[in-house]
Amino acid sequence: MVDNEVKSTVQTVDIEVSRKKFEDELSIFLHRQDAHRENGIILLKATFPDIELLFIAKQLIPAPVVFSVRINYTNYDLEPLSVSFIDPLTGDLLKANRVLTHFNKKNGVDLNGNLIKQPLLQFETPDGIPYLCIPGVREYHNHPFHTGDSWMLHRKLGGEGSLGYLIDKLYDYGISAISTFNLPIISIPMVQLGLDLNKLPE
Amino acid sequence: MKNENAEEKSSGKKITLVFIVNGEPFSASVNINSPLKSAVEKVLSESENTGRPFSDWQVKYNGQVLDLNSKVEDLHLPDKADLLLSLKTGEGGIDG
Repeated sequence: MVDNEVKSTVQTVDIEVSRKKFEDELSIFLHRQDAHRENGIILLKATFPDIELLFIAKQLIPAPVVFSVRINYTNYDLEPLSVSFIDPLTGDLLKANRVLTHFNKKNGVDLNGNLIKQPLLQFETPDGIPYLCIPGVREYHNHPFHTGDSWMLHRKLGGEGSLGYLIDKLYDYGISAISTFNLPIISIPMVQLGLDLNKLPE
Repeated sequence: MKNENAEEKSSGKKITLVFIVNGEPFSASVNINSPLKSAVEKVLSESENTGRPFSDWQVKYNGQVLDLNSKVEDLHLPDKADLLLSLKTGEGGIDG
């Protein structure tokens, strides 16, 4: 069991270093804030060490809020940014079974020629706290499966793990392939979102 | 006027492409007869993103991945198009 909630919550890096990087990356975001908003990416809150963002699938009518994240800059960038999925109304961490998208990537084809999707949202149980399993995310590098893929192999290389990089990936895998609502025939207060597999990023 | 613009384009004039690199825009004036990768190399250098192999990068326009070896003209990009220049995602997913 990996408790990604409690790791790296103590600021050990000079706080002014992390704060400066927070402000620099936030400034880049704010410079294109209108363009982000047109894509359905809305800034909810930006108070060091957290930035909270809302992601909307603008291609559907009505456009649904698909997910919201809290990006945490504690110890950045000696440590990577943390990405957690939150309820945009309360700020509470979401369990895996409350996240509408599993951040699928295209992963080849099966023997019948059908596209295979691979979820980048990982969790141990449906009512556990999920994390985004890509290099550049703190929860990925903290996971015992990834001890051979240190953050230091990625830090400062091509902006991997920066706010802009994470927003690109969250949008690509979480939003871009959503094409329909899938309405369940039973009466539950939660819709599902359909994917166009051909639009999944690789 | 329209004919002049058409002539100008076909004679290999330049257009401006805006590459968004990790959320930051970088404009590049591009000869439409040159391959897209020429502009990408220039932008990666300008944005000081030279630490990763060129093959790790991809360019998307309206969600579609573009062929970096294609001539800019053949990609039918409008002037001042916003192109997403990003690192391909590293391994992750099932079992980590």
